[in-house]
Amino acid sequence: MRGVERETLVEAGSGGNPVPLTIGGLRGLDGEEDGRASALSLTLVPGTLTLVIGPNGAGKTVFLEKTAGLREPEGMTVHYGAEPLWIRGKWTGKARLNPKALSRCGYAGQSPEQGLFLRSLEEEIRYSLRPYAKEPSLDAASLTSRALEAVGWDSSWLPKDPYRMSGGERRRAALAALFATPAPWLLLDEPTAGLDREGHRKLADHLSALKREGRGILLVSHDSDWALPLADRILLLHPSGEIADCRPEELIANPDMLVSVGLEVPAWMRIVRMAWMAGGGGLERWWKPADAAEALVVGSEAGGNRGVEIPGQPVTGTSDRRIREPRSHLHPLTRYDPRAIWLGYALLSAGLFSLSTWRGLLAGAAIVGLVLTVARIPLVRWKGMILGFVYFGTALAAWAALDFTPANGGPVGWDFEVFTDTLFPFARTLAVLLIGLGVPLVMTPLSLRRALEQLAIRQGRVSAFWQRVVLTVTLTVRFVPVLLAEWERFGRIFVSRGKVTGASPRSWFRRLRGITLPLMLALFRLADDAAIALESRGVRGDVQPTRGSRLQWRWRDTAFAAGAAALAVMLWLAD
Amino acid sequence: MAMTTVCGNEDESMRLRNVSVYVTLESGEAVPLVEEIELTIRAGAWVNVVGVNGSGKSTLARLLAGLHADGSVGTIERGFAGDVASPVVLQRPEAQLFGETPREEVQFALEWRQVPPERMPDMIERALSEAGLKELADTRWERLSGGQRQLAAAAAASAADCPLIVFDEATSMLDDANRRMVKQMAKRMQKQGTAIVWVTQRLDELEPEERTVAMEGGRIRFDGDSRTFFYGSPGNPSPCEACGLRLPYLAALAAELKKRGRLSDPLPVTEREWREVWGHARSGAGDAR
Repeated sequence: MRGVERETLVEAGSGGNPVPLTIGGLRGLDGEEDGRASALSLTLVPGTLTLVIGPNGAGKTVFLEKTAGLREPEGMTVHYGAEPLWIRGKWTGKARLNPKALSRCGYAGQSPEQGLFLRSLEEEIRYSLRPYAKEPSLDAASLTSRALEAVGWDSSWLPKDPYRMSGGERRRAALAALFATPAPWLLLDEPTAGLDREGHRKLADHLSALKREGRGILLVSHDSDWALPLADRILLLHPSGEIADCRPEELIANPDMLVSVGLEVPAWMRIVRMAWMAGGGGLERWWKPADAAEALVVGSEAGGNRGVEIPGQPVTGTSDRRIREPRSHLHPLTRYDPRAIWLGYALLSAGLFSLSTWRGLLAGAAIVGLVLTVARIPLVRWKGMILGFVYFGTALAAWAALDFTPANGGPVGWDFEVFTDTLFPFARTLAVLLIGLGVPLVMTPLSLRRALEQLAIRQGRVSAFWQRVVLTVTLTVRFVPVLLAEWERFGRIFVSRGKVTGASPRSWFRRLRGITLPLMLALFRLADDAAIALESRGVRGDVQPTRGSRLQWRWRDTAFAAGAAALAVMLWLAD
Repeated sequence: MAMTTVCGNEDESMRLRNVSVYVTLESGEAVPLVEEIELTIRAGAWVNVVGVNGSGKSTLARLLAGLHADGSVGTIERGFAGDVASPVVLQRPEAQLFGETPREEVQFALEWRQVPPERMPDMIERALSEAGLKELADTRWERLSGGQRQLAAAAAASAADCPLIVFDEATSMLDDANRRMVKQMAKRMQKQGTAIVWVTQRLDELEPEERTVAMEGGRIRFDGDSRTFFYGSPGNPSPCEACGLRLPYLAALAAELKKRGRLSDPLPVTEREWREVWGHARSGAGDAR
């Protein structure tokens, strides 16, 4: 199925400079007996739409995000035309995003409306266009009006505030902001989820128009009967990370290809296949129900029942290909009683907070480093927040150290001592914070809840007040990873729209502005959902829950807490 | 007029009479989320709820689950559903899973339904095996598929034998195989007597004889079987299209074939029905069914 003159599949009607999208470093899923994966490199042609399908967990979204430069490529190479997506920094040698390649792709993830953060649709569109402002041929006005047209709106919508729109309208606003960009490639992840019939139709029309203009589209959609007729090419993602590549005709002729990646064949596809096998002709006449009905009628009147082949019952087995086991995330420290972990953390924090000299803090940093290494606490995930804290502390200390009435008579002086004095508490707090970040990772919310309840139990009951405290604390811990994931998600949405790649404090503050508001709103929605889920599970103030299991304090827990106390004493002595 | 909630006995139907929910905007204007809802659900029934985004289907789902909604007026007789809130399975696993594994999740649910500890192990085992999660009972969420996580949420919802469970777009994020798994589990619960409210945006999930309630603009526009929902009745166009929903390919094809005299009522919905009528659609003997 691969290597079928893929460059000539569609004669690209690409005006201007066609920009092919080349994705390398993939593994191909070949139909061969040995099941061995082969190296695969794809060249997606401008003026075509490539549909990405695969079962849950096959990584469709991750594939799209990597192609959009929103995730580490992990061996995947992406070129937009001649521009590689990742380039090596001149000085550092570190891989960083290439702004030229980044500006060649527009990306809308799932629920793109959640990334809106400005006060009017006009500002949103202007914001999306800003990375392209330097292009001489940019005609913002016509791009804007076309984008509005694509979602069925006119300029009267421009001053409207997305936050006062309904859910469906906000989706349209987000799509309009994406469609306004002149990027030659568009990457869309489930754009039709929850759209009405009109929205489906408009979107299909617009994507077809973009194809005719020579723009390329990479689409993830579960609406197969909507998406397949738009596709020129299909990528089938297998949970093992391997990819098969075929044309819509090949897929319809051989729907078991879906089964081979672990999907089911939808009923409509089997019926289309039957119709196509019976009626023949180009596949495109079978895409529109009206055309298909007509073709069936005409075909039968011509008397040509050309061997209606009815395929057997749906095959529901999946291929036996090895599915990559995700790494286990069970941390070794989860074996300890959460009370021991909290006690240890409190002791070590007390030790760190008792520090008053930079010399002591150096020793503290060494111990923190040791703990982080031994406990294997993955700080990378928290990079954004840690950097934010560092920037904030440094900036504040630098500001505090400015002296507007210096003794030497100059306009502005700078007092190094004030700087270090202001910085010190920040540095100390950072040390406590770094270890604290690991705590939720090594403790399950349920075991934490047990621990807190057992601390608070009086005559077999936990008071309503404590019950609330316990629930609040455990839910907070439970939702920390979700919060983190949401922070990362909005970070990606921000990069994809703003094309801001730098790590300077200035770009960091801009990023903070672009992420905070959508993040807060997403968290409110999440909290709302969680409240409903809790209420529907019977969690109420006047209910005293029963307890299905209890925690046991063991010798190793005592040893753990004692170790933490020893470290704290060492710190106190070193200071 | 404020909301009145009446609790009935376990044989009685649940009834919503003239129920509306309003939100007040910053401007002071009150906007309805749902309006003048009249709905009756029998004990043990299956009811689909469909509609485009913003049609009010989630609000309706929450009302049916007995979750408190601000700004609601009208009368709700809870009937068989009882006076406590019914379990809801939501779209996003991360918002509704409070443990770290399926077992912890079911245990959490049972504890808050005040199940005595000694009965808990059996009930947990039963709920997990009904969900097909026995082998995966102690596997953490990261290692489970989206469908398995939703099954765990459903297991937690069903563990305490509640008379009604609401699935609010529980399958929207799932592929076909996972969707089928979750729906089959809901069907098993219904067979055992639990009433199911199944809110969905995936119309290919609707089976022809199931009852489907279609919402548009906060109002119920259609309440009948799914076949009529897709194809309408003599003199009435498709309620599906009237609600602004996209008719799935097969339904659209059946309607077109009927227009050309190749199919007659009842038009096919499932793949099996399509296979039955296929020969007629091809040969023109449309009335043979």
